[in-house]
Amino acid sequence: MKRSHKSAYLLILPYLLFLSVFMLYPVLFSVWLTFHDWNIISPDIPFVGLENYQRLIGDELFFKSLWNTLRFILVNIPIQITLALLLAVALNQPIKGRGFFRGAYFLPVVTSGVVISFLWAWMLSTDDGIINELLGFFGIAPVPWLTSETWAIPSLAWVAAWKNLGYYVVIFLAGLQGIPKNLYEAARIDGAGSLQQFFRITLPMLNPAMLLVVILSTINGFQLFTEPFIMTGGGPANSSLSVVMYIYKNAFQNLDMGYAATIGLVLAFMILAASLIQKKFLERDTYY
Amino acid sequence: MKKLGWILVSVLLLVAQTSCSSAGDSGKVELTYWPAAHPVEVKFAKDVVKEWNRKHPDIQVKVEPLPASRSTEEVLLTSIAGGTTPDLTSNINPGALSQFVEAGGMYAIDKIDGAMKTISERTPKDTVESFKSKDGHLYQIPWKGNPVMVIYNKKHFKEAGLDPENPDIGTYSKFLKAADKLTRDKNGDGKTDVWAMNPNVEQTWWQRFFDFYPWYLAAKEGETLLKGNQAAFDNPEAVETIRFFKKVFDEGYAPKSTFKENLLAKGKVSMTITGPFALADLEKQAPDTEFGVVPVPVPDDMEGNQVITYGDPKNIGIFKSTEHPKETWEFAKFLISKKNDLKFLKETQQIPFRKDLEKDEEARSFFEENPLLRRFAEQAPYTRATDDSPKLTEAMEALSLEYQKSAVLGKKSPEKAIKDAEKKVNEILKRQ
Amino acid sequence: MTAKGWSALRKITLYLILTAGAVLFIFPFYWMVLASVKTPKEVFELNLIPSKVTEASYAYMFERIPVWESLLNSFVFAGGVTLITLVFTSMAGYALARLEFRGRNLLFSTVLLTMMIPFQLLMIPLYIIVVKLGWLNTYAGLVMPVSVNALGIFIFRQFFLTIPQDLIDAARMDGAGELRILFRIVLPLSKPAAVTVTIFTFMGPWNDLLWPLLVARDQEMMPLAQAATLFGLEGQGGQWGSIMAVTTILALPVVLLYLFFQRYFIESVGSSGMKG
Repeated sequence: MKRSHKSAYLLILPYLLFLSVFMLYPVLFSVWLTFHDWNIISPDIPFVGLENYQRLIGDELFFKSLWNTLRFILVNIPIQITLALLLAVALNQPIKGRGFFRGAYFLPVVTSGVVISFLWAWMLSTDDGIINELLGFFGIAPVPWLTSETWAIPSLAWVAAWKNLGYYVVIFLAGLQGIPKNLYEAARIDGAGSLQQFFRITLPMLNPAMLLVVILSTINGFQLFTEPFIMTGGGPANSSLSVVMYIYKNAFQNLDMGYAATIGLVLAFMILAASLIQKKFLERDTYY
Repeated sequence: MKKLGWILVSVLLLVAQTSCSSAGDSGKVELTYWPAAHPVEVKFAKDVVKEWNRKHPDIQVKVEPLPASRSTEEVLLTSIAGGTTPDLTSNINPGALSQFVEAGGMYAIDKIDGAMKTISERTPKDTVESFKSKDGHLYQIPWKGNPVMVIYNKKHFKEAGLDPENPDIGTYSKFLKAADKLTRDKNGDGKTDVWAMNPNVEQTWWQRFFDFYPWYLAAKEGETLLKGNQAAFDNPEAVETIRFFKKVFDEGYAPKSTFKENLLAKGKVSMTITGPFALADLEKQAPDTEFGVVPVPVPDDMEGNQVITYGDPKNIGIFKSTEHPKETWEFAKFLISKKNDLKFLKETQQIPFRKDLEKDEEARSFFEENPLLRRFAEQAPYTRATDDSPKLTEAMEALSLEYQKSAVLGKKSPEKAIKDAEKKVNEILKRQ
Repeated sequence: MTAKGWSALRKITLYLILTAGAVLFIFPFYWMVLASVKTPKEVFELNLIPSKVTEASYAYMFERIPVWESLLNSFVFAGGVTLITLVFTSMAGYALARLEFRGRNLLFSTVLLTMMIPFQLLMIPLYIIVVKLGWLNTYAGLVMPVSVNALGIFIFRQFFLTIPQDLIDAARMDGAGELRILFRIVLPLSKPAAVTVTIFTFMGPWNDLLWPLLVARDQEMMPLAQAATLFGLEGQGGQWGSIMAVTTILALPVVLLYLFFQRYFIESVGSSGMKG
């Protein structure tokens, strides 16, 4: 047993090194930064107390970016859950070519957000995008998908949903396959129709999968960066500025490291809180 | 186990090794030069450097186009912060310079022996003075200007019943009337196929240098946006400028979206607000199309005055990080020599800040052959730069946002937009 | 309607939904590749088969960005992160699964806890660390700070728990050290875990934009995802045809891998909860 001890420490040493240098130290450093004002160049780094936090509370743009994120999540989650559930239920039937369909839905998941953002930026472009061209056949006037305050966030939410849908299909599919068959048989004997079976058995039994999807989408929403960075630049009029873009802007356009770190820390806490709250609510639902 | 250890160590070493800068051999100086990433400018830079390297085996220069990014200013600022600045760059926006100076990134040119003499022999005194920083030092070598004007498609003008040679569109109302004629639905499907113009609709701060700012300078006869450390643009001229562009977008004279192609070259718009740097690209993309150039329009009651516009100056800066300021200056001197200025003029169709340009035989004959560029060169003395403030980007960003809200999105009246912008800019300027 | 009729209708609806889904997900990719080979004029037309296939957009892309260099950078970035992660997380995973040592539970909780730390919290301090180490514009700066993830440890640990103790004991009898046991015996038996970790670790940096934006400041150090983004966003430079050419090249390696290892991809990304 003693030999085990020694080699164990040797084995975990590299991980511990990475953990402390690139994880634990940065977390502490981050907290420290929020109490300081630093442009990373200047040799003196004044302690400013709670100034960065005070500024955050009065910062309209921060709240705007937060509001944008919330709107994003509120549009993104319903689209994602409905479509993913629909496709997963369809895939769960005895059909031919399941592998192909599942593979097709999953394709955007493995593709870079950069690729998907440019692709959809083009397809959604107001005057030369295919979406508006197609809508034009039905007599619908061009919609400024990415250049209006109304549509920018819903468009981004759609693109993100499209990218991640295949992933959620897989999660739901796993959930569906975990539902015991005898539950359905019992329901059939009780005379429940397909729809009733879906709402009385399938949906409640999928609650854990649902929880996972909601939490992951929320985290994903809070971390939104690539799509708005490429597709809208945060505009128009900051209507699609995400929190992470705002951090990036403060840090690398204004070299305001202290303030950027403050937003980062608050964001981290919000992600944590959101996951915990959702977990609590949805888990309670599971055992009604 | 041992073998594996070695593999690991060597991988780590390999990775770490790349972080060490290659130390050149002793005695030989190696300089890095960042030109703007514009293809013709990169080509020019490479040619000049090739010649320099041949003549100066002991001072070798390496050309690296300015790294791409959303804005040059962001790249330079983060390079200063990260300590990855080159020895020199030729894409300094004087408006953003004080931010770089404040960050301690720039080398004072006037501290180099003989530099001021060379510079004042080349460049008009006023220009040099205007580029001096508040502390009295000169942190930038005046290089080139790109007066912002309106390039138009002659064929479109003829089709719309406008004079293609000397169009009478010098005032707001005449310009807008012409825009109305130029905006056309060619195939009758109810959608516009050719727009009059395409001012940018994004909120990117520097885009306002190609719509709001030249219009404002023209209307205010060259007065810039700030006075002292205060915003000074809450005036009728600014309001009318926004109203002008609001009308352009409201009436559908311009598309409210962004395009990835050169719309003027493709014949999808009739006019574009730009500088002479656009000419080279137009020649390449649309060699058979005839273009003309006019100054930006002015308010109706100012008709006939000399138009003043934004000069879009770009200067050469030497970074404090350089270990060889003298050698860097020697190279910069070569870059701005008369021979290279002429070469620059011809190859990039941009205008160097050189006083004797019109008098020079070679330059004159080049202008004869390129009447479009001559129009820009004639405008060059009547230009202004931006205000000199370390908060310029943030201030312009605030103004740009209000412009977008009013002109493009129609969410605010021009009066309110200007009022709000002035308030925000003052808040930004006040913040330490 | 008869029961048979109902079931046929049901089947048709089912396949309609599934096919509509497949079109929804595959067509945009086809549209992208199509745009990259169409002539500049045709790019804006709706025809689904190009009248002429041209490499003009690719030629323009090669003219404007160092595609091969950027691809190499992407491989070094993603490959470096993957290699370091594989070696170090399998080591830690093995220790956690098969060795007794003091602080093991604490360590395992820490590993799980670090999964909760979002990258956005770390990015500012990591950037500053990279600057202070002089690692901007280096592979070290790109690779090291984002290497080694908790998930790798977790997956390896789970898998290693299933390896029969006899095998390990026999090797120990022969006097093999733990490292040797791990790399010679345990790891070769854990291919599924290794493939899973490889796939999701590789995909992250390959597809990532944010971290390279901070660290790779010179064109010659930029991975392709970043170079493509900056090329596409540039005002005067890019046109849709050539932007679609760059994104096609960027998507190609991962999509090809995906076609060959589809099952592993779905499993590994499914188990990771991480998206690029």
